[in-house]
Amino acid sequence: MQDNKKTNNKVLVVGGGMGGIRAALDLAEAGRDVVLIDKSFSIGGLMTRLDRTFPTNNCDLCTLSPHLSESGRKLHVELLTGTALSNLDGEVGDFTAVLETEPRYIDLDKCTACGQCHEQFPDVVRFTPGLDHRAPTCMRYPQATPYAFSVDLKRCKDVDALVRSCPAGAINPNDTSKAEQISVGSIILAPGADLFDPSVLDTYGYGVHPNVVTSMEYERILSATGPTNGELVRPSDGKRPQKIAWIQCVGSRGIQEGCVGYCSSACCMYALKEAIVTRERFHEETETSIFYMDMRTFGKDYELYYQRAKNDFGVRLVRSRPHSVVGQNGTGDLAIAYLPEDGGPAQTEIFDMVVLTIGFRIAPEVQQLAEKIGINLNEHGFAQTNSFDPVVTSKPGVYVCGLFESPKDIPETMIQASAAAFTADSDLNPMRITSKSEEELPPERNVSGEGPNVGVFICDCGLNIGGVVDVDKLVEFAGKLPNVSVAEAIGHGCSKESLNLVQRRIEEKGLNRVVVGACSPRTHERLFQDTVRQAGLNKYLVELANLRDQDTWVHRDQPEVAAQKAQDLIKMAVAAVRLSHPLIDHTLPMNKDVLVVGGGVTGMTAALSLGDMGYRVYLVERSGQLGGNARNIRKTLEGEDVGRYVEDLINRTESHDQIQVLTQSLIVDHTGMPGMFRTGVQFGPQMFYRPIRHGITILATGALANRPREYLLDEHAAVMTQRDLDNFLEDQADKVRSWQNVVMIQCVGSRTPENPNCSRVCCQSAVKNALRVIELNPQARVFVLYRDMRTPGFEEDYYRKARERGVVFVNYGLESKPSVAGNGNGVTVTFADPILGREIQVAADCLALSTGFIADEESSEDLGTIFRLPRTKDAYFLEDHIKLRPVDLPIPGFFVAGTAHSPRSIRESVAQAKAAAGRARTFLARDLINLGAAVATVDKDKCASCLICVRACPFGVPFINADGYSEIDPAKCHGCGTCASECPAKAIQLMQYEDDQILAKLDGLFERMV
Amino acid sequence: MSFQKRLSSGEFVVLAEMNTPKGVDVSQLVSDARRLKGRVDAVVVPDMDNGVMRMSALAGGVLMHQLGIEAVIHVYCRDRNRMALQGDLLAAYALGIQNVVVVCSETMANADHHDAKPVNDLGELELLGAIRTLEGGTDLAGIELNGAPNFTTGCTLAPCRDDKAFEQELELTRKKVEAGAEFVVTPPVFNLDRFGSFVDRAKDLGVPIIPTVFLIKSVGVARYIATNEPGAGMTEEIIQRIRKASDREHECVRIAGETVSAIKGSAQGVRIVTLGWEHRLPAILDQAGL
Repeated sequence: MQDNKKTNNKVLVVGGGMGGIRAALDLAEAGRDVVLIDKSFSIGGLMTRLDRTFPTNNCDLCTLSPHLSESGRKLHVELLTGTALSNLDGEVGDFTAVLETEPRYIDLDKCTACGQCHEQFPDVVRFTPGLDHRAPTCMRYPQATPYAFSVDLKRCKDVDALVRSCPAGAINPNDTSKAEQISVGSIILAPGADLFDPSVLDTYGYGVHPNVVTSMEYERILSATGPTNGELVRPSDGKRPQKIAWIQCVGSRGIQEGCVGYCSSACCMYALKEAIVTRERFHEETETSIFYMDMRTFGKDYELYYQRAKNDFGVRLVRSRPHSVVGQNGTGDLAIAYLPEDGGPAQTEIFDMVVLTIGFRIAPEVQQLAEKIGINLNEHGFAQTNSFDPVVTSKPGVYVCGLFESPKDIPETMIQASAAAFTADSDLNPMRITSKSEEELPPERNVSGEGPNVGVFICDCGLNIGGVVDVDKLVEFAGKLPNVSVAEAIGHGCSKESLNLVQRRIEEKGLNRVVVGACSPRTHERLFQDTVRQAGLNKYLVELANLRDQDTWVHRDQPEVAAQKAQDLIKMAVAAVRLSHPLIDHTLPMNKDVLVVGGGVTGMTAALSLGDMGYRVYLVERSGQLGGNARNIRKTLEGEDVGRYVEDLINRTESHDQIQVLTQSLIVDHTGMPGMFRTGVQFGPQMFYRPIRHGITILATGALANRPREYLLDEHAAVMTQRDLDNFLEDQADKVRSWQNVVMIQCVGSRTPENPNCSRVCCQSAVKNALRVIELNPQARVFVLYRDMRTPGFEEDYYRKARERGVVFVNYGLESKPSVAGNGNGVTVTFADPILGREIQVAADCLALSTGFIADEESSEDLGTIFRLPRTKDAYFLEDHIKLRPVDLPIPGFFVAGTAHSPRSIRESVAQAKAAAGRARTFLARDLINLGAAVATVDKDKCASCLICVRACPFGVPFINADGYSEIDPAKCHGCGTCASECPAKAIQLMQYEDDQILAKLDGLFERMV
Repeated sequence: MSFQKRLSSGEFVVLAEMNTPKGVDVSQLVSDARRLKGRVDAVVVPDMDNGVMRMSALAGGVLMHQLGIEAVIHVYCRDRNRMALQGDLLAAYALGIQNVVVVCSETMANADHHDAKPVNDLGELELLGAIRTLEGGTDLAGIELNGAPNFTTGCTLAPCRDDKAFEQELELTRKKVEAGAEFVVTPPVFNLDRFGSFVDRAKDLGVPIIPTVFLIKSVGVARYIATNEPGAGMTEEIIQRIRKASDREHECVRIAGETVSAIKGSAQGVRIVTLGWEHRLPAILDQAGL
């Protein structure tokens, strides 16, 4: 527990990319005040530039955007764009940060992003400039946050005309840069990274040949919002390329001038994605080839994605690092010279377009900032952290997440962001959360007895709606509908100004029902509900007509049909809203206890994190002792002592006041809902049953150390796993000194049809153990037989070191696996050397198999059944969103961390454990569980006690009460509506979806047809 | 017919185990027990012998008696000295409890109060002897009782890892029978073939054998037993059967019910143990046709 020193309770988050946004939102949800700054004028970072993301090939903008604008969050997050941290004084709990804000020249409160200024002064006004070298004024993305433009005044010749161009009067040419001092308790650095600029490499011709583009430029070419509007054309002549090549590791994993030694981790996957998307859209017309050194698809299900690229999409993969790209006189075509994998003579192949897959670099100004505020950087200029505390920098109170910690992809960034948010939160004084929004609201007006008085407000959503249907005509139509007293166009309905207008109208005209013709209720219902609530109306008196998603987006090319449908949608909404009535959200008190399942490093870290914050934690472990797989690991790749770390974790966990450790315990049943779960645990050899009541659940059940029966494992003493070797090296160093040859085989039991995914940790284990063998015995020869060496990020440094020390790495394919035969005390390993083109036999004193992880299929299935959680095909738990919500499970209140999620290192497991604790904390910070208003209610006069609802309810909620009619406890009702639809007497209604409202909607819809 | 009479007339007795709460809210216990009334011959109420502090078996037994259900309560030596043991036995009898089982108890290391002092003033055999002494009208100090109890007394046979251990355990049980045990409660049956040979060997104890049927609750529990209690006879077949079932809970109930009806022919009774899932007892009885 922290001491009770008074701390400043605000957190500064530097960087508004994915990581910074996640961290800020987590903190805000946990009730902390956050200042989120970003040096550019809109937040979103690198991800908003991506066309789609692997492995689902989704565009994730729509998943991200609503989070950025959710109104409830605004209470806690102060967003400062165009702002940088310039200095930092003080210490943890009491920092003084100096923020410098560049002038935007546009008043955010007034700007409606109407685009007038941008149309008239395209060179001066930026939505977000400089992101694409071909289109300096292009939008970063259409839903930018803040939703406003900014002005580059230096490029403006006629300031007055610019000011006049704004109908809202938002342009302020006298805006100046400001410096402001704020006090904060802790800081999260999420500055992200720059992309490598390959023009410094002279062999690839970037900047010389127009058809050589970077992977990010290619991403923009594919993007519908990009410079070519999604047309795949090559820059030199606008022709569609027939043959495209990707060159991997451009600027990464290199030792030449301008390159960095580390691996940028995410590039293999995004090159595959770009190739797949290209093949998906252009099929056979466009050939795609990827030139690579090692295909590093080590994330969750990434290997399957790789296989799909090869087998289903026909992406060609060439294991070779091309030497150069040479232009073909005037044609725009490009020749790539490379050495083929099989050792044949050098080849030259002609391509229409070449994509350089570039990686990440830490910007010089970020490194300078780091030095200025006093945090240590590693040799590559990234923030220095250790494996057991991956988000903690060398300066107490300053945390790091995302690319600045090490190169990584989006899910790992999100995990670290939540972890950093949690760690930053725990530095501050504990606080009681009161829901601010409730306190400041005016009393709800009583509308019963009033006839419906409907206001209809219609958005144009930029051109999204307004570009397809005539909003004014629609407004006119709406004004004539029964009970409608106000109909108005409101431009961007979600802008602050429009929301204020809606509130004014409610008050002026005494409106008691509101319809908004807008976008999806999925993303914006809550915003409009909050708006009417602030104007004194019950929030269930507003209805959204989804003009955008259901009409103008899908019928973009048929404006007349769209106009008709828009009228229908508005008519339906008005018809329904007339019958809506005030509803009360049901709430229950939140149980703040935590159940952690699994007592390995991940489970203990999560338990300790929440226990330290004062939450009561039940840690359930099925074996007799804590520690999990890490008990059998001695050293990390970096040389840290895992044994001592695990021992310390166990001691702290077992002696913690707030943690109850239940070993030999099994989960046998589970009921309830987030905030009030009840889980039955059978524990001890006595099998005593005990129900545990808890608010949230963290699954940290881990995976099994794989031990396949292959290559004489467990049959010959010289054959062991990398884990065995790890222990052997520590305990029997003398024997190692007498070894002459050591052979390691990678991917044993992983990346096979039975266990298709990559186990993530084995390449680094092999490198780790190879280096230690050489250190103990410099005379020993070590051979590593690998399929792809997957040492992402800074692990690459050790891989390079191993090669420098003489470890021999030999590639093998699944079709030509090595063979092993016993040979006295040793074994003989036979393998094909692709470079020499012949078979080689090595008499090995030790054969170490990299066996990795395998999911505990039976137990994850058992738990999955009890908790009703989905799993992946290979039996890991399946998270809610593979990119953006990597620790949240699909059932609210459930979180997953560690190897129960996917194979991962200790470092990644610790980060995910803290992230799970952080996500859990956002739940636990609340005092009440909001059950919503959508619950079934029974009309007792109509109920015939026929028991149909009792049988129909999937959750067993309804029962026939003492008065002889069906009773449904709103606290238990899930609002699914099954009973309401089954009830033959129509005695059950689902609130918010009552029959008369649905019928009124249908009447509105079909009126035209009868 | 009372438990004692059924036992002595060789009829099949059905016992259901019900645990007392950790706390004073007995509503769950009472409502679960009510649903068994008339369907079982007695309810077995364990004490704190498994190492978990909670309401004593004496109170649980009395509650059953008040509901009109016959009770069998556990007595054991770890937590009480000979004074307390005798006193509680007299109390139990006076309050209407006529059946006891002398059980062995978990060590304190496995208890939820690690620091509690173990007593072990008497051993199991001595306790059985003490019960006989009380029934004979005197206490262990030889002082005459003002009214003597008359219990139906049972003992247990502990689970065994292997054959050798079983021989020893059988020998020990024989001594318990000699010391006064009138029936023997034996470990959970998972494998009916093995149970057959077990019954054959236990037959010459000369008293009724009451095997246990344990409600497996999940694949995890089955696997745990298979891994940690190799002598229990958990089979891969059972594990796979539960795994393949569409409703696993129901399948577990079915397995328990089938086991109960399968052992009906070869034993004189059954103790059904559900450990926390007492609400499932009626379903198991349904399944077993009882």
